[in-house]
Amino acid sequence: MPVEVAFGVLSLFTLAGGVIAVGSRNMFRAALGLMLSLIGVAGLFLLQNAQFLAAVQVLIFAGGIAVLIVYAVALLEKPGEPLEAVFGKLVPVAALTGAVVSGMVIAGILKAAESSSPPAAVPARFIGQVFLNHLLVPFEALSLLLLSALVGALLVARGSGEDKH
Amino acid sequence: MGENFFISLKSQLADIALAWLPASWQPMISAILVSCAVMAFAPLTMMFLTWFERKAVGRFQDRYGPNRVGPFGIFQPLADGVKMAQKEDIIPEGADRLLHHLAPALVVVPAFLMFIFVPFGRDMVAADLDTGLLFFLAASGLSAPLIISGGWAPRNKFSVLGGLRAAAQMLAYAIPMALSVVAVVMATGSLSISAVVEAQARLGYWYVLTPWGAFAFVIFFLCTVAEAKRTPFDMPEAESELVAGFHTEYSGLKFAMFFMAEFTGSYAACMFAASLFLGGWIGPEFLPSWLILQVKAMALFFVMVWFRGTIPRFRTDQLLALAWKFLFPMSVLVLVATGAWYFLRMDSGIAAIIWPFLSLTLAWWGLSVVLAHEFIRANRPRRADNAG
Amino acid sequence: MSDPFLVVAVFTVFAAMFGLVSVLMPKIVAPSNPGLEKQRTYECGVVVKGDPWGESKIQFYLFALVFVVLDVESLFLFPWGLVFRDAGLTGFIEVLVFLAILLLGWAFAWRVRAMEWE
Repeated sequence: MPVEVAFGVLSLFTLAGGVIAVGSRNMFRAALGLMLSLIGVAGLFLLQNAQFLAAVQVLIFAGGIAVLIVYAVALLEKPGEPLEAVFGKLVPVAALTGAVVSGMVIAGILKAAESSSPPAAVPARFIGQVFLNHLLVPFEALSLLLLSALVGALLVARGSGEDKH
Repeated sequence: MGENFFISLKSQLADIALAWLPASWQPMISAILVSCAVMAFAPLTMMFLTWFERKAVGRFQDRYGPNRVGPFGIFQPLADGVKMAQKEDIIPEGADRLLHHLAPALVVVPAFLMFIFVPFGRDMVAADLDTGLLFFLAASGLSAPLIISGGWAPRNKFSVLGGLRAAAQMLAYAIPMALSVVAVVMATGSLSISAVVEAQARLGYWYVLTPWGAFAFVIFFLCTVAEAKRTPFDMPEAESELVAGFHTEYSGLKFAMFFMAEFTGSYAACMFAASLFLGGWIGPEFLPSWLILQVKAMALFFVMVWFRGTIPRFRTDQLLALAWKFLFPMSVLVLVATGAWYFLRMDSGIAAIIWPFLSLTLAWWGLSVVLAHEFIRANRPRRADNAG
Repeated sequence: MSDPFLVVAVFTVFAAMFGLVSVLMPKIVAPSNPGLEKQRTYECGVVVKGDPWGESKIQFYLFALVFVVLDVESLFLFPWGLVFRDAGLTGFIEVLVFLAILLLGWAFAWRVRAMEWE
């Protein structure tokens, strides 16, 4: 019973955060809603006994990406002005996409509905062992990926920055 | 007050509560009791720490510090609290009212959260998570977006700028902090803070007494001082630069909330550093374990106050350069040295200690020279044709 | 001992309540006299000029970018740190390669002046 309650509460936070993030006219409130949503997801990870992932989620997403997005928002012209809603033409597309994605998610849930207990905890040691022994190439490729992401993002950002200043 | 004073107090209270509640409520009762204990500890600690800091800084500045309200001014923080509580809440026009209320309310949450992961004593962890270390780091990083929002909510240039700068500083110092903690993880093989303390108990020496531990500790401590935005890293709050930075437009208790987050956050980090590097609650047998930890944490906090009374403030670009160009590569080198130290085998005598120590010291100096060059280059007089 | 996650959840609620009560207390305890000068934001005594909600520097964004990449890297070092003794010298070399590549990125960031303040 408590697990269901926790799941309900956390899902509520996640969804509420998502709604605020998408629906808020004020960019900063949207960013805070995003933070709430990310923390909700971290809580859901905890319910699935994925402690390391939950901590990583909070550390990187709520601590780093949220700040990144807020900085990006602050860079825009007049972030305090309420945004105009882009409704109208996009509503049917949005409704269709929403229906399709929901259908997929519900189908997936119904398929996996047998096991209702959280999986056994995966200790972080295991992650380390897997990375260093079996998934070594992806591990090193990961560093290359991070490197290229960093270089690419910096080049793009510097490019527009030079135009601005 | 013996070793198990708090543990037995808690179990007695839990028994009283369970006398008239169903037994399945036991985890909830336990959680509530523990949360209440930490919630009581945090503000009381903050009051004591503000008194301590004001007295100590006063002495550093050759004056007494508060000494009127109660013996040695010990009730000064209480008076301050009452004063702040009855101040008018001024919200500038055009400000985001919701954020103006929300940001200071939420900013204390991560700061208080840091306390529940640290072992207060033997078997006295509020939340003994296997990944407690990571959760502590996560909690300390959570306040960055809240501070930006807090700085942005009142419609004030200085406030916004202070918030953005504060967050930039917190991000910059978060990485060397995480990396120096990885060094401890390497030595212990676990992400649980109580496991780290117990490992130091088993090994018989504190981590700070190892060559890599000493450097990791120094890096970690500097990073926590910077994360807490204390002097010499308090540019975001500097009066001469940014008025009061991101908390300019907050009066009364809202300001106190920001302040409380800073103090409790820095004290929690002191307790954390004491647990990771200084052996935590390990100490002489005749003292209760929780007292030992507080003594160590207060010693570290005193060093923070010492910094405040002694070192002038760093400029923003100096701050950030120190983090990105010095502490970050240094912490990576500490990790490499930690690995090398273990592969050199500790039992090969003095050589296994001297070499890493020498090489790390050399790296420290080398990087400092590079950093100094950077500053000289950045500060050379600008040419006349450069608008600056 | 109790479930640690429950403690985290309960404590977060308590801490949030503490914050909210403290912030809302002025409504009960404190006077409320909004006046023209009091409501103006502070700008060292002069009349406020310009709207602060529209200005920022790109440097902040670059810092956050570099932070995210380096933070992800440091988080990958945690699992390695846990098993590093079992992984032996080969594991150590592998991670050294990982670190070397990331340091390349860091040096690049330095070079393109993403770490400067100006």
